[in-house]
Amino acid sequence: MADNPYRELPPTAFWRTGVAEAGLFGLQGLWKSPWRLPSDARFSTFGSCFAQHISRALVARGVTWKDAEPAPGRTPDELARKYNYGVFTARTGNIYTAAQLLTWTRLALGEMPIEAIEIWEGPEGRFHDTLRPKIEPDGFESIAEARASLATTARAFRRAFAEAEVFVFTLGLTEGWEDASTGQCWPLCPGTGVGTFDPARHVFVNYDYPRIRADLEAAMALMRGVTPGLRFLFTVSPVPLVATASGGHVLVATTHSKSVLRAVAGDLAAACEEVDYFPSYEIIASPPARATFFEPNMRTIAPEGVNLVMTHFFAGLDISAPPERGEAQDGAQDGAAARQKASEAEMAAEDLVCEEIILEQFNDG
Amino acid sequence: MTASPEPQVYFIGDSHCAALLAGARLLGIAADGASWSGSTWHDGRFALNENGINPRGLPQAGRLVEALRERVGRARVVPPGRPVVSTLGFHLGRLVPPYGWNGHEALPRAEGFPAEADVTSRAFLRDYIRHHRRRHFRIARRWARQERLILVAPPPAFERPNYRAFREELLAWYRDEGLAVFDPSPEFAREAGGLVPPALLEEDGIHGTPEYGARVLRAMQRAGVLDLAQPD
Repeated sequence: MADNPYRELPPTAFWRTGVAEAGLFGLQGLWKSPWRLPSDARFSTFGSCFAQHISRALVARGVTWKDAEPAPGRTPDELARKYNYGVFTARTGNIYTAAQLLTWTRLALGEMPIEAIEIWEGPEGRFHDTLRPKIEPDGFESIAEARASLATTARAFRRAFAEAEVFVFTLGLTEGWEDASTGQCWPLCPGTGVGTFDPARHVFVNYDYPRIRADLEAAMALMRGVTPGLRFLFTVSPVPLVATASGGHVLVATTHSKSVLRAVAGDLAAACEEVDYFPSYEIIASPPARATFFEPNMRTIAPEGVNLVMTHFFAGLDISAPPERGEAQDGAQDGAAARQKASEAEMAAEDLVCEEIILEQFNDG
Repeated sequence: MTASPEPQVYFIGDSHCAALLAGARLLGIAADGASWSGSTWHDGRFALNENGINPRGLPQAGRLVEALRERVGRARVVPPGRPVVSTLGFHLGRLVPPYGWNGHEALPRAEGFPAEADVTSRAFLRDYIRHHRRRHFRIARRWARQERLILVAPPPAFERPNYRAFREELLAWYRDEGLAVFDPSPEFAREAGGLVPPALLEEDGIHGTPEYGARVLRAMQRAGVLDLAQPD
């Protein structure tokens, strides 16, 4: 019997063998999913900008990524990108904070009316949805259009947790802005790109651990109220803050922000069976990486870093259980496929009719 | 080859041009033309050269145009100043349905947004149409510089999701480009549902009859879009 608990620990439990001697590309066992998921498990992905890498990697690996708000059929890739289709499971744009996640969940369930989200009119006469100010390249042409689009995305967000097995959320920031009168949170400070800053209305908030945890727990409870078996996989974005409004140095503020988010995610994973944490932050931002994966601006993550993160993700992911949904793969996607099939048959039939009309040109009788 | 008077107007386009051509003949207008499949127009299988618009890689349609050339007795079918009516760029049967495959719905601008429907922005719809019709519009602009081109939207024959929004956007784009374009819809606004009456439709419920064609041509003449006067 060992004389102390450390003697029975594997090499990965020690810094020298687990990190220093392993080297950045020799790191092993950083993450192992506690869940054995069915091979057809559907993953929804949301969060800060780093989260979009997860969406793309899941698609590239053939893992079922839930696309709850696809672009219309035959939309070219370039156009889909321009309008932010296919970036996240629904067209939410970046969700940086837990407060925003809770807002989307409430909108999706009708607990918060669409009209509660403020629409800004820009100086060019276009309208911007404050929950996703940059979702349209040039804004919307009317308030009604902005709201109809927001309602579309809210319904898609509901499908994202109603028709998925795993909800992946990348926590990005603790700092945010709220409306002092309504409490609405914004992903961007008014005046930074869209909107007009009003110091009487627009309040800086640096969300603390209890608030972030409470918001995440509230969002999870609401989602699991619809989908009791839904699992949550949290990550923390390694991308540093662009700027801080905290009054401190942005480097210090970044460490504070990421530390709080990391602590909330880790504690929730430890406390709840349905929650897990994936260490994308550590892979990019901890000492063995020596900032290797940061571009010269010390903020953007190089593709090689994203690849390494996703290599660890897929190494630890277990989707070896038998498929659960059988023939019916996905209600919404099946519906879309059926619509497409019927529509293609109709178009082919119509082509035939057109050909007959044209052939009549040859009929001299 | 049948000897026939010099056409006053030509019809070159997809299957909807056939009704317009037949309508012209019903009205006693000397007319000729050629039509080929809307799906190939949709696919961009046509080209414009100094002799006018031609199918590309479509032997049967090519023979139709050759026969038309033989009938008029020249390579350049449409003489200077004579109107040529086309449906180029519409071909809605191939353009519109895919937009709805993932449940998206669009209405004409004045009607707002369908309740509880998934929508795209109007800007997206415009970009979507422009992507799929870029080549059609580029050639329509060139064609209009070369010949007296009049574009005509297809019959408002049925109410199906998204069709009216696409028509509106296409018509607006053509008009914005300064092209002569005619929308038959107002002519049928007082009919049931604002649609072409069944008596003016072929059995397929999509294409107009010669009588439909005649009614549309009269409306075009009234609106001053189609002028059959001999050019100077």
